[in-house]
Amino acid sequence: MSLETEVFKSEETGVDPVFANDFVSMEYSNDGSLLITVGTGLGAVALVRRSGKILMIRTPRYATGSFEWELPRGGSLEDESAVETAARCVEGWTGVTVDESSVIHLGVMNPDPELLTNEVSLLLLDTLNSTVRTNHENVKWVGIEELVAACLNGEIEDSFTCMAVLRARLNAMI
Amino acid sequence: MSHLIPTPIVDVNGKQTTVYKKMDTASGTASDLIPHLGVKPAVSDLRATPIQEDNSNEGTGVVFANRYLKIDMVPSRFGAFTTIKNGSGGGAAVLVLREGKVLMVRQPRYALGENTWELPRGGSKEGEDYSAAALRELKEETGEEGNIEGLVSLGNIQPDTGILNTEAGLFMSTINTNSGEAYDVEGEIDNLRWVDADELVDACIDGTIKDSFTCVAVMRARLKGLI
Repeated sequence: MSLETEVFKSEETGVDPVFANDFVSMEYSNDGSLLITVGTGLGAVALVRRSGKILMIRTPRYATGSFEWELPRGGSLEDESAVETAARCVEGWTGVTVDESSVIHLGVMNPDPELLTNEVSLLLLDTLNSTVRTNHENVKWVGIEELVAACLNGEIEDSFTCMAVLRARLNAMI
Repeated sequence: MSHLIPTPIVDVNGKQTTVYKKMDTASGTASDLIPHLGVKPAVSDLRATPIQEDNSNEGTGVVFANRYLKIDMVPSRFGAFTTIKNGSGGGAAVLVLREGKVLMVRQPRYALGENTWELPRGGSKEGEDYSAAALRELKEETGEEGNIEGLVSLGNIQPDTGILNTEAGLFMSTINTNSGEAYDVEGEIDNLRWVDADELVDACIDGTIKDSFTCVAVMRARLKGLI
């Protein structure tokens, strides 16, 4: 039996956005459901490894009211591939340059299918250098076992980080 | 014989939650099913911490609201920051296990334009803890609360910390009867399936299933040796 999704055979949506700013747009489908798209609707999460450790960043998350330790991630720009998005975000947040040719795809995810149209790619990457620039307090290399444990016991709740780490572990990639 | 007893604790993030301890009726002793849940990690320091900074840039408040959600522009160091509050912000997904199979429901997800297979999931009412939402989902989808041993916490999930305030509890429940057929209150039995646990784990790993709630609950349960 298949667990694959099946695409709706429904009519086109043709309603103007009910709300939009630089970050999100919302529209109603013609059955009345609200669809929300963050950014372009695509993004990437980077699981960057070096010498048994994984690159983590801490950022203020105003939606949850907390500083959260997470894998670097970001929304894709128009016409940008997932690998390019990951490389740009990692470089921007940490100064670390990833080796784009080392990429291993860990599949895609929908953070919240009830609400968000977004689809995000999970990528495992090696580095070309390991220089950590910017604020060291908010960038660190974390031991793989420590990170796996944190994703398992709920210390890390972020779905993007948990998805990438747990898929990589169950694939025996980390 | 043993049974599970709910025990309120403060979890590693300082939040009130409930864990389920296994009570051995012969010896009268209770033991943690997931011992580390209530214990502060010795080495790791990856926990979230509250934002306590002076956000001098004002927010602009709620700019959109309907009966389900609202968009609230909150103050941040970057200026007014877009956040979405969906319902109460809380909820639960529950992994129901029976004889090595896991209950999956097919949902029309209009945001994706797809019917997707997911674990049963629902929102919390205002002020209600996540386990209550999990128990309600269980009752709705299986109709057999009397045969449910209890809930085991698989930790919480935040689906998108960049924009959603949502946090949900992930739980597992084992049905120990062989009579418990999937029960669908809507009569849409095609939309419920008991899926072999190994097949489900593979689907979560290879990306066939993309829903973060389902994947994180299933992968945590597998790595903890629960399925």
